[in-house]
Amino acid sequence: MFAIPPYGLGFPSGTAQSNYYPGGNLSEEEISSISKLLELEGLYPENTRISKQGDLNYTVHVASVQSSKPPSISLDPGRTVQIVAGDHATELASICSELSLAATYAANDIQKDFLSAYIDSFRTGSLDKYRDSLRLWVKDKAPRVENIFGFVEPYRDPYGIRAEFEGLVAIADDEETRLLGKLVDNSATFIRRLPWAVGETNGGKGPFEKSLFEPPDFSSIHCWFKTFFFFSNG
Amino acid sequence: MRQVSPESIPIFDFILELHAHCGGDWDTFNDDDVSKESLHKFLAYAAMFLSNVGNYSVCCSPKLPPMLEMSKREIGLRRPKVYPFRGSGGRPGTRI
Repeated sequence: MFAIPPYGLGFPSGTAQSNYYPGGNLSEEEISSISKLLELEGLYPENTRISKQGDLNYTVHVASVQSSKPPSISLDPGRTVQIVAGDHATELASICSELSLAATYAANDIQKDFLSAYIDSFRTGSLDKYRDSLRLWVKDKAPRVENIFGFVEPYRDPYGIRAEFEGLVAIADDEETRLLGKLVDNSATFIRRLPWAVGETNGGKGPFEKSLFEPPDFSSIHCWFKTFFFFSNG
Repeated sequence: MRQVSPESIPIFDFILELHAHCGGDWDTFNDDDVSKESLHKFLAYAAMFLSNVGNYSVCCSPKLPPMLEMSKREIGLRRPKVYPFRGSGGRPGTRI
């Protein structure tokens, strides 16, 4: 709590730490080569952490309810990487059981479907399944209750590709959503005020805009210290 | 929080345990051993910790240590008995 160093998050060293890489002082080079290997194996990095055992063995911990111990992969002659599922299993298990209860209150079938895709993804650790859930999520236009669930916030990974879990449920703010709608309705006026929109090109909108602005679906919600605007192109 | 630092979960548990211990009335911790100022600084730390979901800043990753003159002994004095000061939620012996 009081100890300084570490001064901040970063690749594990005498001055920085990161719990995405717990144990074994992994270097940026090691993290980079393991991440490339995972890419070759068709595994996404967002829900993983990496630790090092001794000088030559690495473990990639995949967040999931189910645990598994598949055979290890060779990184290069002499170095092996073992991929082990079941990281954060207890927390993900209770998230899954709450999500399945939430599904009984879904406002439509799309919501039911993406909730069950979230659950599948968190149970198995499959981020392909997670991408499926997002494809469904963008189709859920202007929902009364909006949500984000998953490993989506990469800011605190020094390598920038592993992501923190975020769970968020919010009710759309009608008044602010209406104001945003007004902005969209008047988009032509604002586009014509852009500095490059000079002369009569493209109906006064300048050379860089489509002649018809296609607004994305959006809703405005507030949470914590942030205001989110969701824009999704379904 | 486990994705941020090994201390984050124990510190989170510690703050919630203190909250439960005083039933939300933090002034009860203010006595001869713990000054009002120390208490306020600890609350400022707890607020900063909770809003960053961990003991490192959300936006630019510097560590957020408590701006606290308060000694570890003072914190220890107020520590609820049910909470082991070291180790809960992290690896055994995790320093918080």
